[in-house]
Amino acid sequence: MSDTTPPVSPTARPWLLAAALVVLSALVLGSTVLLGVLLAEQTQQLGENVQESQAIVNANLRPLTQAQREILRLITLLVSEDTTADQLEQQRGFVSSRTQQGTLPSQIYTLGSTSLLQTSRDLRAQWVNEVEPLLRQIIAAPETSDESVRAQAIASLQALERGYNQLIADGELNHRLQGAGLNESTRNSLESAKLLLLALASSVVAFLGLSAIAGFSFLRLTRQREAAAEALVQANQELRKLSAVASLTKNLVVVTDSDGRIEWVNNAFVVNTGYALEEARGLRPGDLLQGPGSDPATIAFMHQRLQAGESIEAEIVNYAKDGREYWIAIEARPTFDTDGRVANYVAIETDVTARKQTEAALRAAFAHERELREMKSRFVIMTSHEFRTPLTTILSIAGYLKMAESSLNADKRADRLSKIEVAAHNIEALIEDVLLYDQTDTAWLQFDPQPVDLVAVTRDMVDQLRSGAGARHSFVCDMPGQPLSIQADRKLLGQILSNLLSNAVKYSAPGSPIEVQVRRDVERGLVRVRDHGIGIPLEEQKHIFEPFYRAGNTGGIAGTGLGMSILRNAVELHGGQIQFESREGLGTTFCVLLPAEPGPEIES
Amino acid sequence: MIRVLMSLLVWGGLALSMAGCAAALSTPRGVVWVTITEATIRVGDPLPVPEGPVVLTITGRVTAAGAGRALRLDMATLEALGRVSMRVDDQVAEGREVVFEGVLLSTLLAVAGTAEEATTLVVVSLNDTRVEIPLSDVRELPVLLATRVDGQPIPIDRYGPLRIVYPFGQVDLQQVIYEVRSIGHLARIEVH
Repeated sequence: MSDTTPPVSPTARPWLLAAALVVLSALVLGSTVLLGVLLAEQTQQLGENVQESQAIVNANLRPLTQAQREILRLITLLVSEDTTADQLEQQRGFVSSRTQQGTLPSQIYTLGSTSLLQTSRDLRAQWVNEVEPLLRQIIAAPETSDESVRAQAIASLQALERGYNQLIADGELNHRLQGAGLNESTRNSLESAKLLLLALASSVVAFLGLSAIAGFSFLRLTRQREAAAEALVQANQELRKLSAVASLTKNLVVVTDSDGRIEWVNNAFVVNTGYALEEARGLRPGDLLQGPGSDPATIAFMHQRLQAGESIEAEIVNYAKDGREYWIAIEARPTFDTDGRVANYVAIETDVTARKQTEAALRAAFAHERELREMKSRFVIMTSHEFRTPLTTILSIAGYLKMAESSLNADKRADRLSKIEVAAHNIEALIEDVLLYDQTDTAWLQFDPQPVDLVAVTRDMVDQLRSGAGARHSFVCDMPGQPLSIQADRKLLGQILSNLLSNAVKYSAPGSPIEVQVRRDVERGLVRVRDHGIGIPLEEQKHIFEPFYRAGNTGGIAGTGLGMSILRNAVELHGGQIQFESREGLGTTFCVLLPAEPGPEIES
Repeated sequence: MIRVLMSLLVWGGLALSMAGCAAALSTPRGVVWVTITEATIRVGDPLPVPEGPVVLTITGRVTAAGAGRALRLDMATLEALGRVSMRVDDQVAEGREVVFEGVLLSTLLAVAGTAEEATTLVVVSLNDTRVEIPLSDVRELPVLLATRVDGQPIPIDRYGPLRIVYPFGQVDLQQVIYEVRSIGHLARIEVH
């Protein structure tokens, strides 16, 4: 899984381009339409020009020139002596038809203005009103007609002819001016049309270009999408593989969101923890799985690293749904989104309970071995000190006896021999202790508890000491008058009391009091022994139950360092408790509690 | 989305150009003339000697009167070739729609028997105006040799007694060409 990808949205740019293309196309299309409209206007203008030019083309000066010609011929006929009435009549018809033709509305094209057309119509009226009556008079009676009538007709016709001449000249000029103006207008229109066509062509080219670009980008977009789809398919396959790995592994896989809440867990997680995905989703793994045995320091460390978006590797105790405790080695890593923010955490957890148990067993075995080694060295030291002293005594006396056997009297010899005996007894006692320790260490094999009267046994033991080693101490006893029955192994109980009392004697000065108390403490029998001896140095108090351990202030007092170990072993075998209080130089109080038989004695 | 927009542009352009084409189309109009009197003289029939005043002389490559001889016709003979009427928008002479009657020029020339190699008619008026008319006009258009206007003989004041009339208003004719050929006061036709 890739941790970093450049923060670029892959689809944003092509769509932006497409939008720009659409807008540009719309603009170009708009301008094309506008140009088209302008061009249409120009075309319409040209069309109008064509119509106008058609009018100019249609202009026909002929009727007017013919009218002029027929008038001139009529004058000629009137002047001639030989002219017949028929000839005059025909010529009159010609003039009449031509002057009439000159008044037609279509003559506006020829003359170019309504005023000239009006002139033409005035000339026609002049013909009809002035000349034709005179002509009809002459034609009706050609021979008899008055010469003045003929002269008047000729004069009128001449005036008419001048009028037509002027009209033709004016019309011709108008005609040419119109043509020139039309040409000008057409030229302008053509220029405009040319420019418009150019613009239109550019616009069309631009539109085609844009269309090409649009098509190209569409193609490219399609190709990109195809590539993306292809990549997606591959990524899916890859994902399916990875998903299979995550699903099939025996390791526990947990995916959380950036807030640390579970989004997905694999099957191994469900099997190991007992929590289904539906139960776990939305919860924090810590809240779900950690418990009283989980190391708070480790939890804090994990929390801090994950908050900082860093990966972690740790080992911690977790709890299954059924409360089963197990160790996991956890490896959690953040994954990042395209903006570089934490998207998920992926945690892979391995159950390391078996390894942890083996480690603990190994550590215990190692501690035990070290303890044994220490015990051994203490044993050696003890032996070299405690065994060598009486042996030296025995050897030196034996040597002396051998050398001065003859010179010694019976008393002295007996005295020396009894010294040897004491020394040998000391060695024997030491060996006894060692054997006894070994016995109590394994005594559970022959442990045989039965009802015993604690008061009686204690009193016997005190009496025994009063007549022996403790003859010079004063024992102060505080015991109930009736028996106190406890469940105890008779031999071991004797050893417990013997050790308690003989230690009190051994480590306190002769003459000092030793207080012995026996009483019932709820459901237990209690024996308290207090001396006023050398006490145990504070810093050494925690070691006194270790085998062969001897406090620093016991120099000169014989001992194996096993008494307290034996004592504790024996008490523990009974399921009892041993406590002590001691101050160096002031004395020590030992207190032993042993389970009592339910008895009739009532605590006062 | 792009695809939709592009197709809109293309189809919109096509639709606009088609609308433009449709506007340029127009409907042709039929030519109508009506027979007034059936012909009493047909092609091949001998032409009678004129009894009334001769109104039209046909010269040149015509065969009816014998080779090299002019054909002289009076009004009765002309109208005996079959009289038809035709409504014409006569802007060139009368300035309005006029109903003319007369003989189709094609009928007249068929009766007169124009030579095969003839191509052109030169028509000449009483007042000496000469105009050329290609024979193709006679073959392709109903050109009328008018003898009457509004049912009456045409007076000389209205380009009578004979007029060449083209079917203005019935056929789209270019005025500048056919206006000149619509000659009045007709006196003679030369077949070249």
